[in-house]
Amino acid sequence: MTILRNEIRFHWKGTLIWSVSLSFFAILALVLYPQVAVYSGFFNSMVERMGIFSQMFNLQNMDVFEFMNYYGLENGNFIGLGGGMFAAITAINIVAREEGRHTAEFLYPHPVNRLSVLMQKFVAMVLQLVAVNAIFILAAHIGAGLIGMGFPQKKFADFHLSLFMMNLQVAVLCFGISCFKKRDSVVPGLGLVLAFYFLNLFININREIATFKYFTPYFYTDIGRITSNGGPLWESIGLGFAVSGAVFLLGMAYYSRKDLAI
Amino acid sequence: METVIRTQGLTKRYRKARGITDLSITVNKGDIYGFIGSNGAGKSTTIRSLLGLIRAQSGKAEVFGLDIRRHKREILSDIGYIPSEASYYPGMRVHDALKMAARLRRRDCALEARKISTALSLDMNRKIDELSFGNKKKLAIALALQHKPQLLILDEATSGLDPLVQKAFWDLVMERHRQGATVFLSSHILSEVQQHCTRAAIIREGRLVVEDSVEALSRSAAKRVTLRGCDHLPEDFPGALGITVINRNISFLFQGDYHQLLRDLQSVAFSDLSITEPDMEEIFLHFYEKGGEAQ
Repeated sequence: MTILRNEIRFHWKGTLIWSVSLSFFAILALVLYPQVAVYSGFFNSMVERMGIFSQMFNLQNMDVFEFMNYYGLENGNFIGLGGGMFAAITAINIVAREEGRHTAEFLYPHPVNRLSVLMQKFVAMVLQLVAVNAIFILAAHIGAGLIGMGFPQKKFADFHLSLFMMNLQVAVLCFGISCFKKRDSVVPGLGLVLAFYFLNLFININREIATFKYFTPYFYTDIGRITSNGGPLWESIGLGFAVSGAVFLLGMAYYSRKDLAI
Repeated sequence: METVIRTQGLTKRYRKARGITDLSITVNKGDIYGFIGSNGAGKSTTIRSLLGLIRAQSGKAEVFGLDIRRHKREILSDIGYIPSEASYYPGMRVHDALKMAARLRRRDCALEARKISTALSLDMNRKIDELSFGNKKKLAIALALQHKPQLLILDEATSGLDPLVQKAFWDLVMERHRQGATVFLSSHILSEVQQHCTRAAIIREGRLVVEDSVEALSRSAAKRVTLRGCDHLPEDFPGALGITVINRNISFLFQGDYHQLLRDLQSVAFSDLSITEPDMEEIFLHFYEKGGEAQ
């Protein structure tokens, strides 16, 4: 558990900063809800006239100012994009930085098993994601409480479960990629998250490329889709995890035999 | 005699760098083994293969009689390694690194860590990020010694250390050696090898040039011939290498028939003659210039 402890010890501050930042925006968006809701009729008609933009964010046929929909759209972006970025930044270097910062020469002459190191790092990464999501959920409840509102429990749970799965899928994929990397850089992880995010927007505009929905985890975090599906989109989640899991396993297998660059 | 390290035909090639080719060395229990070579000769590749950080394409590497690929954890639990440039996790203090290393080995090394830190004047409460190169090296020494390993692998261990700390370091290493530890020392400081090592190997362009006791290496190499009160040595003096003239003293390395040398010197005027063992640097240069012919 030494590696796990080490990872947590050195990353708890960063995790806390991300959690607090995202939570701040969650509360802010919720506190603004009563003022925005007053003009819901006006805004809903405006959304209808937005055409392609309304389509891009999957807003058609949705009451944007129904409380849970509002929360899903606003905070889905914070914990969706922000959380995805956090997952990518955390995972993309978690293995590679041992070589990138030459600490592999400190760690691996000790009697440690490389697979055990990877597993401990993986658990540390998941715990960080759980912490960010849990703090965000707590903040959402505080925000809702401040304006005297409450979330529909099932829908809220389905939505946050989907968001957490998306964060985890990004992290699993980036962790696998990190096993192949030798340098310490967050660019591939951030690039991947942005590519996923924009791919989802394109899928929303152009239904002909709907096949690509399985390539982006943002597809299954859409509040409208979760609502119409009556729960998380497990087919998309499963396929996404199958691909990310394959990269993860390939990365682990490669790392357990690779020549360490130090 | 019990063998601690044995490589047989060990070969590791990189895409761009040379690596090592068909390297066979033997380090026996109780040896202080000097591993000498210029930059890029293959010293670090050999050490990394022995530590299981990289995998050789062919050949075999055994430590404590066990194959490094199959028994890596078992082997590493009894090795102390000092890298040429130590890197640490950011934000750690000296005692954090020592504790972490001890935990990775599942041992309580607190007492020994304190003893070594005191001997090296290393402040255990300092932040590692704020340490000088020399102090980071001291920490690497403490990390390598705190669990009292049976094998010490030292890669340029004393570079960056001032003479006093070098002495403290060697005192610690020699104490461990007296307690039964075997030492594998990769070094550029040839006098260090000559002073401390019992056996040595010279590696050149990834291949072993020679491996023997330091004493035998000194014998097998050329001798240092010094003529005092002498101004001039005939051109093309047979067997003379690297002739230097300082204040009517002529000095050169000689390898060949000593009877012939004495005959040739009859035509040279000098007041005094000495023939001595060369120092390690001269041995090294001898084997490097000859490219291993002297084997």
